[in-house]
Amino acid sequence: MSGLLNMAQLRPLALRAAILVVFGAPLWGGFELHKTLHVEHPFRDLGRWVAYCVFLYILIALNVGIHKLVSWVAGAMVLALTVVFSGGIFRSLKIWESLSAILPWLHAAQASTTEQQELDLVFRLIMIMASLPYMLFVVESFPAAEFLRDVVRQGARRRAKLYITLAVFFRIFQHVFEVVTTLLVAWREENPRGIAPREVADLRGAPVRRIAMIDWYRQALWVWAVALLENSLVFVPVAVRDWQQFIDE
Amino acid sequence: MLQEQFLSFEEEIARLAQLSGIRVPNMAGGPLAFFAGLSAWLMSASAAAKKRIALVLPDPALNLALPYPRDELTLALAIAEDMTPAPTQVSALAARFNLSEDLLDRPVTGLSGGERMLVSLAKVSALASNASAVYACSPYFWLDAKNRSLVATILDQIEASGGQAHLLTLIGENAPIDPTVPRTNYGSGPTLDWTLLVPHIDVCFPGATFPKRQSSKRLRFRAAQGTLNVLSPLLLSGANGVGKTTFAKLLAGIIVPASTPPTAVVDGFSEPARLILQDALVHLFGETPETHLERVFRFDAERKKEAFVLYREMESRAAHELNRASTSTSVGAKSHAETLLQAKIVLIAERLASRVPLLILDEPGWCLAQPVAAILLDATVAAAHARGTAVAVISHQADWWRNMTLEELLFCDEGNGEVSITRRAN
Repeated sequence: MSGLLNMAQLRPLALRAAILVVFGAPLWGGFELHKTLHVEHPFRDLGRWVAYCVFLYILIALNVGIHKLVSWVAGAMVLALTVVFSGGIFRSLKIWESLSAILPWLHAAQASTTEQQELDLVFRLIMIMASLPYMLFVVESFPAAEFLRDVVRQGARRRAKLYITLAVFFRIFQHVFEVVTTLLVAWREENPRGIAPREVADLRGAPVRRIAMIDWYRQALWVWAVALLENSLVFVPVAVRDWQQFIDE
Repeated sequence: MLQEQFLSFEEEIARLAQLSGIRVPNMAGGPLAFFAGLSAWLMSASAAAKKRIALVLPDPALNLALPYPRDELTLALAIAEDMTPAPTQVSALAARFNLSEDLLDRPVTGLSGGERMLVSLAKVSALASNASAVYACSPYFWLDAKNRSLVATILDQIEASGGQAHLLTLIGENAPIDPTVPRTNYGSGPTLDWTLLVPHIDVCFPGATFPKRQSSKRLRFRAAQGTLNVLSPLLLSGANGVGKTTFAKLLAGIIVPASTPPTAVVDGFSEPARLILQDALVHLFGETPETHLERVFRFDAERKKEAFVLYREMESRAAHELNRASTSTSVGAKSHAETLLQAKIVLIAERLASRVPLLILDEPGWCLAQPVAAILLDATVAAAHARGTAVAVISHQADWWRNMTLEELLFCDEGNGEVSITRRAN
């Protein structure tokens, strides 16, 4: 299946960008796909989202292959489940409405009953499962080297700064994936079970284990966020240093 | 050519900043130290580009900006010549740096550290004709003996084209300071015999088609004997890219092969090994050494205490040895660990406290002067053997580490992805 299509090879760049925008239109507000629950036709909306998600997965698999798609979907699943579980907890603690006031995109206007609110979370799960792999696919569809090659090949002086800005933008996002790969190796070395720490002697038999583990997850997320940020940001000057020479030439 | 040698990585980086204005942030001091240095790193890198300074840093991740070696070299040649180079030019440049055509289209993240450093050198070589100065900062750690002379080639090239060449290294980094260091000085602790089970191991790294087509890579490790009774400390040596780190990851359970993985057994005790990668700072996850230990042993107070005691003991021992050797360098501030040496000691203490049969150190001397690396290994072996943990060292500088280890496993590329493992006594 892998390699039947290759969006990254499609020229010109504007056509590639246009196609990706059209395919992703429902994610940024196009077409008749509602982003929150509509009590009149919740299952019709949900069905459409599932169909759209399947369409995106087929498109992505035809380009990047099943193996890579599965790893992206796994990442999306982790994020989606985190959102759904934390959403469920916040709703049961009655602080969801307060959060919605600060973050308007959380607000589901028509979800008033518990069942509707739960269905609304399912909406969000499907949307994350569809959008995250597609975002990764879009970022990988624009290799930074291509922008830089165009600057050299066409002598595009007028567009050089724009192209190099785009190259830096996409490259930083692509670099984040590489950092994740490197950090995963270090994480697996430290925590062979992945989602539990290596050393747990003090937790054995203790009833507070679950609470302590929740805080361990919070700490792990924080550590990952800092490590990702550091290892991604340290790379920015490397790209700027190299590519600025195009402009200066 | 200006050449200077240093006893610590921190001194070397400070001198680089003084000479070139390039300020590399401290990744071992925690988030505050990192973010405090980030803007200076950004500004100085930008200024370096304006002054057409080419740079080789000891961490290859800070030398390469693009995901594929072919793109990196194409763009470097394009900058130098202001036109798109022919594919043959890129291939010729790569060949000069012992980089195969196949390797040019593999992602940089899939290359070994040595291969990434060779790409970095090839890139700087391409930029040399257009550069006003080249600063090579500890470039030798990732390179085997065959490839080390390439650094001098580049520096000669920049001088020939009218630029300035600066080579900053740590003591003993290029040539061993004293290959006949007797074992009575370093690595003199009690020995430990252990067993390494090496069945026929097949590892396959799948290929990809997006965004670029890349072929899959297969490695097959073969030892003449499936069961090797070896002594600790053991040296794993071999050329760049032969598969030493892959083998270490197999032992640590990070890579799971299609066949049976290799296993380390000490006194009948067998568990996946612990591993410290060459770019050891990745294990810290942006934490300070102390907060790292706190987090890892959060749910095991006994081992946390043991790890901290071990860390303080190893730090004191290293400080004592450095003082005894009358060197001007220090381990680092006692109040707040932030040097690379302290980070390495913490990572070693953490692994030893977790009680495993084998600790693997991938290039433990990376960014350490040789006398300091020797002190570190000596302290590590003593602490490890006291806990019944065997130690294995991976290094390109086999000629020097042989004096610090008792036996050696030599990894040789036999072609078609087959890697032979041969045992020899040191």
